[in-house]
Amino acid sequence: MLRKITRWFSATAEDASAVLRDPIQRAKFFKYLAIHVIIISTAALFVYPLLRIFSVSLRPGDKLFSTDLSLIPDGATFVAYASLLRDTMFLRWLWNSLLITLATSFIGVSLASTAAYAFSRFQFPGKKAGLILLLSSQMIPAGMLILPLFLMIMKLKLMNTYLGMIIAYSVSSLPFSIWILKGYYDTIPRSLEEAALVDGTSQVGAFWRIILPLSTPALSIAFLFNFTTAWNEYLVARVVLFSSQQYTWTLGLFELQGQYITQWGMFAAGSMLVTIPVLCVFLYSSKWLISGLTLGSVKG
Amino acid sequence: MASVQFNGIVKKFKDNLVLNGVDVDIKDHEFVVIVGPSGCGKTTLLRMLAGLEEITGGEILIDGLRVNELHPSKRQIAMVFQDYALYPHMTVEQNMSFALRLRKTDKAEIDARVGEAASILQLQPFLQRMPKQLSGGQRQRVAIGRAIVRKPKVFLFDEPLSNLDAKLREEMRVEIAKLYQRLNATIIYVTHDQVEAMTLAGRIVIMNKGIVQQVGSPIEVYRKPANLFVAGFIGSPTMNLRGSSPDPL
Repeated sequence: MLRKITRWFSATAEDASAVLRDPIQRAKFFKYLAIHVIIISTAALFVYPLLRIFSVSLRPGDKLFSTDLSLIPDGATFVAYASLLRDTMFLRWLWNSLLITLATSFIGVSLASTAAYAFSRFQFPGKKAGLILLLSSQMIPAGMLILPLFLMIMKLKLMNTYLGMIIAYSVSSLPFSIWILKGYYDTIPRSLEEAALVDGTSQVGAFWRIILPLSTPALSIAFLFNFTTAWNEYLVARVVLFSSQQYTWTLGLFELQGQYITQWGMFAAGSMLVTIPVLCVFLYSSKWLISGLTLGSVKG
Repeated sequence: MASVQFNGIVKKFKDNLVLNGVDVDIKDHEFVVIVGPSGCGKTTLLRMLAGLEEITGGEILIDGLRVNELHPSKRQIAMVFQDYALYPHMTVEQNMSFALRLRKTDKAEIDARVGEAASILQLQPFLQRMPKQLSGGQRQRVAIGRAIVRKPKVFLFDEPLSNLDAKLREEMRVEIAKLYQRLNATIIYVTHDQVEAMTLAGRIVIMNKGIVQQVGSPIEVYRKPANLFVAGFIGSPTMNLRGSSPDPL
């Protein structure tokens, strides 16, 4: 075993010196080195805050401003997690968020996928104007929409309800999803649907059996967009929801922030817990994000 | 199998007249090639027969039945597209059996028909592959196989060989001719390649600018062209015509 390891080390050392002697190999080596330095430092930049929050969530007491930089602090404890789950309605808030987010994502994607199909395939009066209108609605800052949303939801008598939140969220992310999906449908050759029509499907059947299965990359992007925006949303929720029973986690976490004292340990623990669903959704949907599914359908 | 009649077919795209009164009678079991330069309206005519394009005027009859308003799937036709149009998320077998599965055909019947078509087109080794794993010629054969399994009344081919290289095109031409003899079907075949037209057709329909110029057997249109356009279009090298545009060389 030992001999094997020493042989491996001497082999790599020989390889390394051989690589550094050859100018082409050397250039390649430094290129890869530079790329990896950039990738690793960028990754570190993004991961660092998460690690800090993790370490804060493990600190005993509320030592947010401790100068201790270790990932696992002295006397690390899960007390913050335990009291968050026991003493607050955190699980309830998480459940509310999950319910609203999932409903928003499914409703948003199903509305967008059919609307985008109409925009991509059919000619009708007002098509161009409709598309431009959708695009321009994205240019309005979200803050401006709060008042009209509030008024509309109040008129619908949906204040402080899940349904009010679901309508507000799924409608506001609809334009982006429609544009993404329309762009994707445009790349799918029409002859595929025509072949399906000749084969015996209706127009709806062609959409369901041919277009939708081929659009999984775009559908999952639209789903992820809907999911993350609804999951992280704060402003609209602040306006629509007012009883802590109905709160989403974003509102719930800010409950922990008092005027004189903020429970940073619990705040950090909550922040850690809410990343889990998003992480799961991202990991799961990554397999649908593979593009190039249409490869080989038609010549070209 | 069936006969097809085009009676005074007119097609307009907004103000643009694409087909201007096309009258063609195609008999049962006939192999008719529609040929003409790009933009002459031949593909539009085929797509109207398939039900993929609305008919502005005139009527189309399949086996004596007016099909103008009939959904494509009810016309009992099968179409082979220029770009193959294979469903990329289905295997070769699923592609070929798609129409039968939609009609809820018996599983044993589907297997038998797909097996038969695959053996005619030598596709058995590829049945479980996806379209992207096939070469151009193989994809074209799958597209033809998808049409065969449905046992349609009329086969429509829309420039099926134009995407293949010269050698493969020649091979496929022979295969299509053999297939015609074997299936003894009514075939309507659109192409801009006059060699394909002359070698495959029982009758040729020559079109230009949305108007049928001549209908006849290959030898007829070659020996007795009806007008200057046909005379100039058929034959290689083309006929020397007085007053035609002078050779720049």
